[in-house]
Amino acid sequence: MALVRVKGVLDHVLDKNLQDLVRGIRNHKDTEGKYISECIEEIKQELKQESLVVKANAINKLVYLQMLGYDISWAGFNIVEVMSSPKFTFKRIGYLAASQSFHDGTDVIMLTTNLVRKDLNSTNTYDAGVALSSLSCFMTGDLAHDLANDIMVLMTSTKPYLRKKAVLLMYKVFLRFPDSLKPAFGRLKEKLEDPDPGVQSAAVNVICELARKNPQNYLSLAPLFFKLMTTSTNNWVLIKIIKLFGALIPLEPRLGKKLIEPLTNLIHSTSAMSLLYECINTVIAVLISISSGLQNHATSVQLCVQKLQILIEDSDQNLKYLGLLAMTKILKTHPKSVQAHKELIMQCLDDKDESIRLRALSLLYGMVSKKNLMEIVKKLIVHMEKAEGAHYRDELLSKIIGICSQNDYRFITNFEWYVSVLVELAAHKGMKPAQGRAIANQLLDVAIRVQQVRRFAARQMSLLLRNHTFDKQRGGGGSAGLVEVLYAAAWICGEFAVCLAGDEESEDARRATLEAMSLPYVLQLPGEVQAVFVHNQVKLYANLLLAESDAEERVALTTELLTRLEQFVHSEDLEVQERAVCAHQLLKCTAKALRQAAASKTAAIFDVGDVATEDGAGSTAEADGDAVIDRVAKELSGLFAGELNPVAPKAQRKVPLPEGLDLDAWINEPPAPPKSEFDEPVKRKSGKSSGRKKEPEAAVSATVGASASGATNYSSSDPTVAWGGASGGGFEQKEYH
Amino acid sequence: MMHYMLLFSRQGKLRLQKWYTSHSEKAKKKIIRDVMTMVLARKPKMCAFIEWKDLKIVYKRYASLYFCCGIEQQDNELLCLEIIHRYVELLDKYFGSVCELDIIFNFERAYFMLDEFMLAGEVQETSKKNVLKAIAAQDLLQEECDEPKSLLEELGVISTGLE
Repeated sequence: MALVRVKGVLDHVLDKNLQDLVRGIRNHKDTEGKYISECIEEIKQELKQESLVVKANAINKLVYLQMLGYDISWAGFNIVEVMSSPKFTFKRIGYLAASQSFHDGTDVIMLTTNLVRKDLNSTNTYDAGVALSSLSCFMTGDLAHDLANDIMVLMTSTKPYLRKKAVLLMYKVFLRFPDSLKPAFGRLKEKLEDPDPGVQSAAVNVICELARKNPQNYLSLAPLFFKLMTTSTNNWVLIKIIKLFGALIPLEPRLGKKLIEPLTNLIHSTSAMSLLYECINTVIAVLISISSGLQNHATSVQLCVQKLQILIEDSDQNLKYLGLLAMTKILKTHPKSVQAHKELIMQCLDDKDESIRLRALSLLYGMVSKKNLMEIVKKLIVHMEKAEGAHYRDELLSKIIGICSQNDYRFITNFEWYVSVLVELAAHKGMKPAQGRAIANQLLDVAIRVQQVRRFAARQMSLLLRNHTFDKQRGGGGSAGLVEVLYAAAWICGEFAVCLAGDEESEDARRATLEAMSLPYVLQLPGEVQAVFVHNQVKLYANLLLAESDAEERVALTTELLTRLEQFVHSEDLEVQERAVCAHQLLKCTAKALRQAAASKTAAIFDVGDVATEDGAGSTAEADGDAVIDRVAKELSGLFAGELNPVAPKAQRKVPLPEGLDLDAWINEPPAPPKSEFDEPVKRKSGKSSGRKKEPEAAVSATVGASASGATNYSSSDPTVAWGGASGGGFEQKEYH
Repeated sequence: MMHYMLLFSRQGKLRLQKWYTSHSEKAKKKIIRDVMTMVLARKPKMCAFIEWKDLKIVYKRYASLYFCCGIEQQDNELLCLEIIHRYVELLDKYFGSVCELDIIFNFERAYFMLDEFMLAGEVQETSKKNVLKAIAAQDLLQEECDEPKSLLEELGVISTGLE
């Protein structure tokens, strides 16, 4: 028996330990996967052994493999075994494995409760220490519930090492088991005044975290923390306390006022950047919350902005980034102070680091004014051209649109410039649909609202329709965004077709635009866009018809458009099909009318053989024909007449209700409520009923019915009865068969 | 509160992962992959902070190793950089001029060191001396346990009463 044991153990003297494993993996770089699976097999064998030495070694190796990404949850039970070893070395390894691999779903966790409790109460400091450290990683709700008391006891242990760990662990316990907070709170408060600085800072840490979640409860501790802040020299603790105050300030404005002074002192005196940054952030938070008392704190704002400027000018990228971040916060309440540093921020736009550029971009919102808008936008467009990342480019685009359109275009002096900027943006390759839509919305918005720019906008859109390169960019991102812009372009050309008419400055663009709208590529566009194209072709046509005086020309125009619309009539998209068919029919009627009128004209001319009277009689017939054509043209364009005005969302409410209209009255008699099956047997017995019954009668018959059948479904809780009583008139007791 | 700390080499090999929040294995793997790709893609002159999902990633490169932490929105980034630096100093003091190989071959000691410095995502001990003292004491305890025994005792044939 002993010999068997010796033999078994001897086999394992040559087991790999951790060093061997690591070396092995490094030596097998090419066949790593295979090598590791072999090792895992060996480990599985080792775990079947009795000896804890072997097991601990195996678990040690498993932890390493877990770090490389291999799942070790199958060894959960073995980990617990090793954790329970009395030897510190093995216990440590077991706890390490647990902290790395246990999580909420691990089922062996419930085996650990007693084991951990034993370790927490152990006389050996480091056993308890290891347990506390590990527990923080796999604390579950059940463990929190069961072990809360033990950990609380440890908070008052004689050893500061353990007190410190226990205090920090209580935070995890509070998160999982909130009811433990009340009994533990008193002790936690005591720890704030613990003689050991480590324990004290641990307590500060925990209370800071708790206060962030629920500031109200910790307001009473403010004076204590104030004292700590003024006396402590430990930067780590100071930062935590200042952060805590940051969380409390929104609740108690007086606290904010009191804090300004010590914080500004700290800002002046400290050399630690992290502390400086924290102070500035908190001062900004204070200033936001007491924005009424601006005058008194102008100096503080100045100081902050000054320090932030130093941060931004620093060559260290990190400080630059944080400076810009803090500036963004100040921007909300004190935009003027930020504007003074416009140049500096513009410089940041040229920085190599993308994160810094993005931050500088977000600051631009507060910095634009009427004068510098064009300059800033020009710079941004230049950036867009040389931008490398698609994300950055998209950001730039949305920013440009954002700053131009903010406050109802407050900063735009020249709308024609803005339209040309939008057209330029639309020409960019690789634009996504969302961006395209934004540009399209802007174009539509500006064209509708700003009457003066309509002519320019329409002409630009017409140029766009005729010259864009959609065909050559089949598929791919570029087209997707452009498609949305084409939607806007087509609509604007159709709606404001009158602006495309020829005048002294430029020629008539209407026919060219009309042709451009029915090129074959249009069939490739998405349904909504095609529909708009179809509809607006008709609008343009109507406009042209009205303007054209020659009858023959008109007929030719109509037939031309008819043939072009043919290709849309068979579209798969329902909207397109519908519009195309409607337009087609409309045009057919128009064409017929026009042809008849033209024919009657020519007939009139040929009828009169006499040249002399030609003008006389012919012209009246001609005039008649013309009149008919004119009328047709006018009616057609009448379909699309009417000024479009933007409507405010709340406009509907302002429309007064006409007299005598009661929107709440029933239009018809309300229907009878649905009856349940339970009604049947009782109704047959009570037998009566037809037509309308008064309420008490219905109730009486109901009770009679109830007593007759013994059914209890007519008790007052039955909704059918309640309905029956309430709606009185509508309740008909019919027989159901 | 720190959510996690990851150490990985420039080649994308993970050297240490410490999680202060509970995640499933799959979620952890995904986070590691995403964070590694993001951080390794950064150019040298860029700032050390990345906004990612609802966390801030703070990273710092020491020789061939990237030290990377995920912290919450209200946490101080500069403080996180200090934490990383302090951890590196501790490892340096302990191993004596630490390099990546030390962390590879003694990875469990790196974990123990981190467990003495931070607990539940918060800084546990701000004094370097105290942390190193605790580690030394625990190492001593391990050595006492591992005192050289006779071969037969080691093989478990003769009981020493310790197991």
